[in-house]
Amino acid sequence: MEPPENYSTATSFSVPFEDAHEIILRWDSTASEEARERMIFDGDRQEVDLYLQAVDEIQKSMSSTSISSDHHDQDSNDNRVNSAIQIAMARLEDEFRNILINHTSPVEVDSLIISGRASSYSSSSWNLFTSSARSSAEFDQEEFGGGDHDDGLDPIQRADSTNSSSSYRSTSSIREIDLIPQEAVADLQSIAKRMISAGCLRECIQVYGSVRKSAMDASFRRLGIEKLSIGDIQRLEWETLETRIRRWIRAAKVCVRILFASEKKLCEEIFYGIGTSIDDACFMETVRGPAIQLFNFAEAISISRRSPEKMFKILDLHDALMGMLPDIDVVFESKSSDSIRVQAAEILSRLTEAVRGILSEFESAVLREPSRVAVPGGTIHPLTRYVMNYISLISDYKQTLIELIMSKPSTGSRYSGDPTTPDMEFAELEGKTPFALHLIWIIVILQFNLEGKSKHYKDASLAHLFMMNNVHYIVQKVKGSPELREMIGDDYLRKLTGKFRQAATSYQRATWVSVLYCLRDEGLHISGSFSSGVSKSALRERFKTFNAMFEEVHRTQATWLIPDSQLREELRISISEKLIPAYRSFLGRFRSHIESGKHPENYIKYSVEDLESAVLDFFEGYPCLGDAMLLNKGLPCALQLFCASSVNLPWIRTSRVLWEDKLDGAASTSPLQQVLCHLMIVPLIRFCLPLISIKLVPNRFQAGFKVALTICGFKFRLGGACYEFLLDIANSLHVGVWTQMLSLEGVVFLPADPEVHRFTLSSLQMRYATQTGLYPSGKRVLASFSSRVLYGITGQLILKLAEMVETSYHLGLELFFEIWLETFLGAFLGVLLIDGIRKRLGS
Amino acid sequence: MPATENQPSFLGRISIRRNQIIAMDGNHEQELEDLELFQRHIGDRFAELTSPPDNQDSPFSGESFLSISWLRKLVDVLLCCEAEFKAALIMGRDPSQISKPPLDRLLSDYMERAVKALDICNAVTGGVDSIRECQKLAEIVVSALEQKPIGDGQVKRAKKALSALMSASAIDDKENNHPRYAERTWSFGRRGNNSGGNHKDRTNHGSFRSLSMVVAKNWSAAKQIQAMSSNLAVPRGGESTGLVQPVYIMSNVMVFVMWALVAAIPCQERSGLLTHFQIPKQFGWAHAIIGMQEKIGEEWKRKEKKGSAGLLEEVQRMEKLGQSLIEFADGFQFPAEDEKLEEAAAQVAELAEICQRMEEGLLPLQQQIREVFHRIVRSRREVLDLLDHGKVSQPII
Repeated sequence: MEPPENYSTATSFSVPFEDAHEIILRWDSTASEEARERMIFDGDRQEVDLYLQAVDEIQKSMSSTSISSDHHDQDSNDNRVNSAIQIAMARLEDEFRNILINHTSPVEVDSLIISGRASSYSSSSWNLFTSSARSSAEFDQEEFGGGDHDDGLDPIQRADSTNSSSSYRSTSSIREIDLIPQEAVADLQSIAKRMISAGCLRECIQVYGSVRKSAMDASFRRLGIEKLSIGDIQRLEWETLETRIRRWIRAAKVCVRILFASEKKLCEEIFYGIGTSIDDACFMETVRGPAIQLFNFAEAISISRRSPEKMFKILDLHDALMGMLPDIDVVFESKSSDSIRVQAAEILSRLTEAVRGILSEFESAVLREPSRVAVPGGTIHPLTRYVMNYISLISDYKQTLIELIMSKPSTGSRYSGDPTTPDMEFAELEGKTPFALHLIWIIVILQFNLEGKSKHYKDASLAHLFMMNNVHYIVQKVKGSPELREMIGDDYLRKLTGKFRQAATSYQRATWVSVLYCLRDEGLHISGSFSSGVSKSALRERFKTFNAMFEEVHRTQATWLIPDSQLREELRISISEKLIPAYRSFLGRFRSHIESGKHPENYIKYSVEDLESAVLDFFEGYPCLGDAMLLNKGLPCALQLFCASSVNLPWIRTSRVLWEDKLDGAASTSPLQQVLCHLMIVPLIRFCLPLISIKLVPNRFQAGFKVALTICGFKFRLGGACYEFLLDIANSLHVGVWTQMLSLEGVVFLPADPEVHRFTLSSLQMRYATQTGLYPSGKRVLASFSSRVLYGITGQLILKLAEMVETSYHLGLELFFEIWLETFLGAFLGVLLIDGIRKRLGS
Repeated sequence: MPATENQPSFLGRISIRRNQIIAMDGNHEQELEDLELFQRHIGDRFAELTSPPDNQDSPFSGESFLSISWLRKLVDVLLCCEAEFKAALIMGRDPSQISKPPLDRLLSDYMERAVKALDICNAVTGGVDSIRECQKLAEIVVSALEQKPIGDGQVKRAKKALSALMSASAIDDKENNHPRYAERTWSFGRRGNNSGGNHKDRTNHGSFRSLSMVVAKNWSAAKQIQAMSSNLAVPRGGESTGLVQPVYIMSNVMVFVMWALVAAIPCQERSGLLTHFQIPKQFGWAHAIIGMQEKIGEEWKRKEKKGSAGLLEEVQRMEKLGQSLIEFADGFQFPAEDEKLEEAAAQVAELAEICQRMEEGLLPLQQQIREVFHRIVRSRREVLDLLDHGKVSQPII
């Protein structure tokens, strides 16, 4: 159906009504096959112009026919025009849809998301115990490409790379792109104009909205924005959410600054000048749903339960949203979209609240952190590490936090006399931001808590050493972070320094005053006589006392630990400076009196050099003398190793629970068991828990506690719990060896829970039997089995085994104990250790 | 008022309970008084909703059961009850009181329920959006058929909008988790063979339509209601002291209002909605609620067979009018008989009036639902804070 010749050249002419009518009918898709097959705007431009003119003509004639003469004629003519208009409108609607669909390809946002620098995000969440391995690397990466706009990147890439700066706070803004090529936009505009003037505005908006919405949805899927209900998000593990928050931040920036902004631009281009706020209506029609879907995630995060570890990602989210807010305000400036603006602002304010809430929650958690067991060797308490790492990490967000934290910490007042809250004097801290005051306050309550903990040391010297170590660590951490140091200020830092020096002095006084007292002259001279009037017996007694005291101090304090080498060195030097000259002069004055008598070696055990080198043993954390030391050696050392590597928050919680409960359980048993308990079980549990911490659920432990075992008269309360987490370890390590171990464990424990019992005895023993060809019925078998599995397990796990040893002992199964001892501990901790334990058991 | 008749019975129960807990802590008298008041207020508020409006001159006064304005009142009642509940729960209370069992467990259940209610709020907000889509289609019909005289062109235009409207409101939310409102049909049945590329786009296009719903694909409003009500156990004698009762009542109120909203407004996946939630009959405060629940249940049963967009009165009337206007359009021949035109004009006027009511009511309803959302979030925060404060030696989590 070729259009007549004269039409094709008549672009600037107006088309007569009859011809126009004919053109409209020709393109009536309900009438002709060809009209159905072809799209006008896909074809010849002349045809396009012609059709549009025809529509214009019909519309013109509609307004003019009303002055036609005959009434009936007018009616039927009206109907004819009307009908033509509607045919044309239906056609235009289809054309409009067709153009939109043809140019609907989702925005290529992949390149932004999976660009090279994104790989740095894969490093998992921060770890409070690995001190300064901070997430700052993440931010450094993000800063890449910032600032310079003439870098040849395409607009999208450029937009994203300039959008970011440190800690997600960004200054850059909207980058619009052409979602649809300009020619197509012109066509769309010319159609929209005609549809709207014919009163088909609603149809136009709807077609537009439905096509653009699906384009938007496709872009969303490319960006990885999921549809998650709030309930779903509350159920997700925080670690999972951390990755999602990161992903969301990136996606949201692209959405707001590129997708939504470009959508808005497109609407403005197509509907510009056609009618009031039509562009806005179309825009909202398109992005309302997607925007709600986008913000739903942030909404869900903002209302999630608060806990300290959430602080960092919530701050990230806050900063990101804060940075986007001006852009959101621009993109959603119209009245009809204020609900989206309001929602974003609400989320932001809820995130702000969350940050404040978490900080105060953290403070009260630090204050109330209730573990009562003293850290062996007086070293740095895990709480100290945790708190200091935490505050040095949050001070990376100082810019945000200084703005958000507006109120001073709620401290106890100096004269409140409340023994559960420390005092803090604000007067001397004038001019500090509330956030800085909070940081100082956290350090104050940390020290307060630590002081409470130090009281659990029986040895006052150790308590002082503990405080010295911990406050020193605090000072080091503050110095290590420029932000923290700046906020806390040198004044307070000096105070802290004074504090650990004071603790060092107190330690020296507590330990060394009495030792040095042995080296005084008084009491040695026989009254009345001069020069050589020295009482030999008194002198001998004095030397013996000194030797015994020094030996004891050496023995115990070599096991104590000062982790900081410089501090350790300083303290040793300070000891030497007092001890060595005093001893040297004492020796100089009285040596001859002893050497002239019998068996001088019984009284003068140490040369000056001996003492000097003995002092070098101090604070090394050696387990050097005695059984307890032996035990101490293998376990806490490995333990420290472990603590340094990876410890997380559930770990603290559960270890505390177990720790205390374990000790409670031990309280009723013999002193030896208490020693064992303290030295072995506690570290062991602490040691093993991280292995399974991810799967730990508090109620599982509660259930474990309920399984009380009464075997051989021992009430071993933790039996069930031990078993539980053995099981957990087995699950997480899925080492076949472990499952077999459990079968033995089952024999020892005889758990009260029949389900566990059955599982232990049948399934695990069977597995063992099938693997080894032996049934674990006799001790020999057990022993051989034990040595067989021995070398298959790692050094860390031996500690777990050591606990079984201890447990066996508790249960009164000495034989078992011996076997375990030889097989497991023998290999790992050496024959010495076993001898030590045996001796101890024998005594 | 129905509530007044019920009062003796529930006062009776109160006095029984009074005896049970007479030995409890000192301020139980005050507490019982508060509880009594709380229950009465709940009963009264819902009774007011069931009582018919005063002006009954028009059957469609706009105030009728399950209309937009009725739903708005219902949501208002929820907001009032919630405020009172929170006052009873939080104000001037020692946190340690709250964090003791069984209240701590009940409250954390309540918090769980609140989170689920948030998702329902979001889904219902989406549902209101879909009704607004229907409204827009109906407006097209109105604007086409309002013209005088009605010609073929107008009828054609109206027909197209009508068929979109009818398919939008006839939702089968089992198969097609979302109403088909946004989709305006092509004016011709199929596209030609020259549009192979377009064809792909179109199929894509069709599958995107779920995007009006904010919630995940497998999310189900019915299941959500079920999850909210499943652990709602009637407090037993020993437990029914102090705050246990208000928590129970408030939970029921919340579940009921959510349930009613889901029934009235299109929501993703609502099959089996009826069976999921039953309020025990023995409580005075519950009578009005149960009455409404039964009424809505009957409506639901009637409508479920037809696969309706929801029980919202305006939508149902819109459907009915749409149906008869389709008949009118199908039989239309120019020039039309006056009688038919008059009939159609009346229907168009009614449709216009419904559109007007939707225009006025839907956005405020949406805002109210948003307000419920905020309120729930706030209360949840406050209660969580209380629960946390109550625990004395909370380890660092």
